[in-house]
Amino acid sequence: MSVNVEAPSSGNVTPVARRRIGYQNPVWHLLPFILFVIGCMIAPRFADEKGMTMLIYIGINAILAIGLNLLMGYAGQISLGHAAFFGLGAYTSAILTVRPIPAEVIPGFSVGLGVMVGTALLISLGRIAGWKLGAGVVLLIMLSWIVKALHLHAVGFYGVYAVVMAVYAVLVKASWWKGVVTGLMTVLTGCYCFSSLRNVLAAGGASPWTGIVAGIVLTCVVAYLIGGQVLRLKGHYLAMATLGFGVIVEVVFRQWTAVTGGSSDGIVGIPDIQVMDSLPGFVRRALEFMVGHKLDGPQEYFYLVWGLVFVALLIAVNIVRSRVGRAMRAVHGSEVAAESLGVDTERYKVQVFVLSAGLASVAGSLYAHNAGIGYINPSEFGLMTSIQMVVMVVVGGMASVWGALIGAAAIQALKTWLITIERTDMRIFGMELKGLDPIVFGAVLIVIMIVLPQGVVRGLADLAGASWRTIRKRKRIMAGRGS
Amino acid sequence: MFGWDWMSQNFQLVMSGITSGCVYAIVAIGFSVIYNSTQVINFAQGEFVMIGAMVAAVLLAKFGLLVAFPVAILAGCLVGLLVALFVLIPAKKGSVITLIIVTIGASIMFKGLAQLFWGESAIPVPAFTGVKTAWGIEDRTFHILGAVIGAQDVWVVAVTALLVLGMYLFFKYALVGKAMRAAAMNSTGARLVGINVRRMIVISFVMASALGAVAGVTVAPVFYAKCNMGMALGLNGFCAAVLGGLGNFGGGVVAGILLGIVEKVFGGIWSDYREAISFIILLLILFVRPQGLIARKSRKG
Amino acid sequence: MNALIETKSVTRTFGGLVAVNEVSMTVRRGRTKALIGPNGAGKSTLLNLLTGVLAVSAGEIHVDGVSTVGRPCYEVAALGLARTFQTVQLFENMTVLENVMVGCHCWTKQSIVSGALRWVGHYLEERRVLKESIVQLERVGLTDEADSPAGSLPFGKQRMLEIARALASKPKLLLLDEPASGLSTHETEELSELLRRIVVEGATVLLVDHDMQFVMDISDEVMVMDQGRKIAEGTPDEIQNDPRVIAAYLGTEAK
Repeated sequence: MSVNVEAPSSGNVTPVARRRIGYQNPVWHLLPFILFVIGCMIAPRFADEKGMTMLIYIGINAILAIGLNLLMGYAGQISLGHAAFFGLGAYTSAILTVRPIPAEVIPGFSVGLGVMVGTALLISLGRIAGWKLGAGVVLLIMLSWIVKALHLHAVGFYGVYAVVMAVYAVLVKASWWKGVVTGLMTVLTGCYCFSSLRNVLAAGGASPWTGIVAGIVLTCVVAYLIGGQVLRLKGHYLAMATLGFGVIVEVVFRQWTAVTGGSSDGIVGIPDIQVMDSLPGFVRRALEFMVGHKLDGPQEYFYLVWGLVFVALLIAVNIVRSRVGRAMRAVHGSEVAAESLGVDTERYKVQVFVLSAGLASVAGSLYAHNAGIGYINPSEFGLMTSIQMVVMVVVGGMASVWGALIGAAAIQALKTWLITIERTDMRIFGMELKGLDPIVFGAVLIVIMIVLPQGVVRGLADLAGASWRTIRKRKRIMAGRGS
Repeated sequence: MFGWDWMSQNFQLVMSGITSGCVYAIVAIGFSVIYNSTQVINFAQGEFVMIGAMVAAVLLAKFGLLVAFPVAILAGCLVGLLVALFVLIPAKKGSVITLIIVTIGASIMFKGLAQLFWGESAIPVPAFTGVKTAWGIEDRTFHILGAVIGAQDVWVVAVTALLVLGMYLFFKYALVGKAMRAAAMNSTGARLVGINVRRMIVISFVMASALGAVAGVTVAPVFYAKCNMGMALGLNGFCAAVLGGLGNFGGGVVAGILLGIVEKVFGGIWSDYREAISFIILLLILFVRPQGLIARKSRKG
Repeated sequence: MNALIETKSVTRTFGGLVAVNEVSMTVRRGRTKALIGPNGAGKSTLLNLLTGVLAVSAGEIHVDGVSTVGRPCYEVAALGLARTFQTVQLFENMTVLENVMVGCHCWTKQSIVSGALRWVGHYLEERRVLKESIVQLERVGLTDEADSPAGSLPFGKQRMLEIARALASKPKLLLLDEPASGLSTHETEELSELLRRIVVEGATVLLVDHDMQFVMDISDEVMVMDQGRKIAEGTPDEIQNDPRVIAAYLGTEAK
């Protein structure tokens, strides 16, 4: 878009001719998307089965990386526990579609969800944090016990919650009606979860789409609760806090066997997603034309996954080039200056954190439903996975959305290569080559952060940009228009 | 219910909590040493302990303590030197995120290398003052108030006390120690006064890794030497360091021991989620009482 | 109300040190006020208190009648204060144009959702932001470098960029923290020119600086601080001849 700018209102008339400012140049931004779409269309034609599997994994990782990239590269927050969100999405999808929650778990589960929703409301309505928040959570939990013990009728039930929370709100100097709303929403959510969980989960077998959406909702609520507190920390403390959070969630996955099946069984038999049936006829025919024959399972899944990658890329690129994206990059550049210009840093950090968690959840759901495999296990959502996600973002480049894609591809390729090495009987100095992942990833992290801290994509782009500017400057000087 | 059994059971937990608490305390000191001189938090601190433990594990059975101890410490120093030279110094000019990622990279590399060299399984390590029995070398034990305490536990506490004392004296009186504190407070100023900041980094890392190695050797008979023991120790040690105030040795020690006790006691009550307890405590501390270590927005002093 | 900013006995202590000691002052609409004083007088601290970067230990601050005590920095900015920094705080990871566009943040309202989904409101607002940013860039003469990374500018132009960015927020009051420090004579003249133009258009400015010539040329009113207290206030002529001011500056060379 070119801009025709008239003189500023100061009265100094300096008409500026139409000019193309690089910022608005659409070609740079559309081109990668077009290439992407073309690539996706034709890839299945050329890939064999192993290639398809790898491409699907790359796609899932790409969604993860795009989200984490927004958080680390643009908002400048490190997260060493993102595998927790990945796992939450996967387990939610798995549980809702396959494994009914045993009846004895449902009440506690519902109460827990209710308290979480209530806490989220408490935070957002009252901007409450620290010990006040802790007190509010404890109060909500205690209310649940009390009400259960008293066997109250429905009205009394709601009344107790509303009154107690109102008093609490007054005491912590938030408005009383906010306390009431919080209390009521906690109760309502708990009741709703109880009744719906009982119906849905006793039977099991919800549709995968429900699972994906439920996963996103649950993960975003958790991310909001955690993010508000964790993102007030800086640097090392933030890293440690996210790491701790990731480990806690992993332990929950492993130990809460009633719900998740623990590490011995995992969850088995997760169904494939029947994509093609939901799409309109002409889309299906177009895709079949691209591939050359009727689509089989992995290929259908490929298009689903990469379709979602496209959506994720679109969202990410849009945000980066919008007002909030600029605000976040500003915070990254100089937090003091950003705040002095009116940027509410905490709010945006939390928003990006929640967004990246939501994307991780989608990736997790896709991972769980992965055509042909349908099995998940807590060990896949631990610290190593979180670190691998960080490696993807670092390699691709923290300040580049497309870099996330490249990082995902590079890491997946690296992992596949390492697996093939481990399969051979090669020995170095008489040692069996096993467990190379940490060594290689560790080395990659160190080398990249020292040599190419901007990542591969931005490093090259900077070089290109700098040379382009030098060329333009020289041209201008030679044309006699020196400034 | 609150009879003799309960008492002795809990006392047992407290005692074993003190043992692991001492290890956390030493790790916390290691964190503080490095933080004091370089403002960096070394995520690989736990791995230093692990390396000491593994080297000792391999050597103790065959060569005895007199050989294993110094070799383990040397190994630790070597590792610390490598990290300082090849990881920290090149990356020093980067941002905070860079330093974090780089030390994490080092940490997982060491874990992976340990697994490569020594395999995945835990290696049992003979106690220092063990007694040769029909089943191999076993630790001497004492019975106090119904709890069984091994001689090795006493060793752990004794070594910890010695190290704490040593650190205190070093930083208070030795020239190098004072120089290190200066380098941390103001690296440009320190450089102007002639203190070589790079050397400070190297020295502090070597010290921290030696400390870790000593801890590893001493505690290996109690815990078993396993290649993935570093992570838990590192995180718990960091928790202790934050609790006691980063850079505060005494605080770190007290916090470490407290943390060990709490972990064991609560672990007894809630055994399923035992591993998550220290992280929950860590999160709670970071959220509620960071003790002024957090920069609050719009409250910059 | 004629007073745009009004402080009453504002105090800030750091542990035992009293950096700002019961300072009461007003800045009137349309005027340019300078804040001078020897090093360590508390000028920058006062600026930080006004903008909400630091919290007041005691006292009141009102911006256009609204109290700012206890408000976080970004809320104070939304009330109409914009500032530049002693050490230039540019967003070096962004281009010159983008830096100024961030300046428009406080009077725009597109959220993260609308940024992601890009409906009409987003595009309309972006056009306005772009237009305003270019206007400000022209004011300071930086249109040619619009696409360069902010960090690549020479120092003098970086200061200009910071001012353009502050102006883009359509502030009621512009606070400048040592804008002339580190500038050559020529650059200082350009800066004076720019400020004169802005003032003519009706801006209110609060200025902290050491360069006496620069300050006296531009300001309507000068306030002098020493060791945290206000020791004098008046027109530039009155201040230059005030014995207390001269005493405070003994040992410091006034240009």
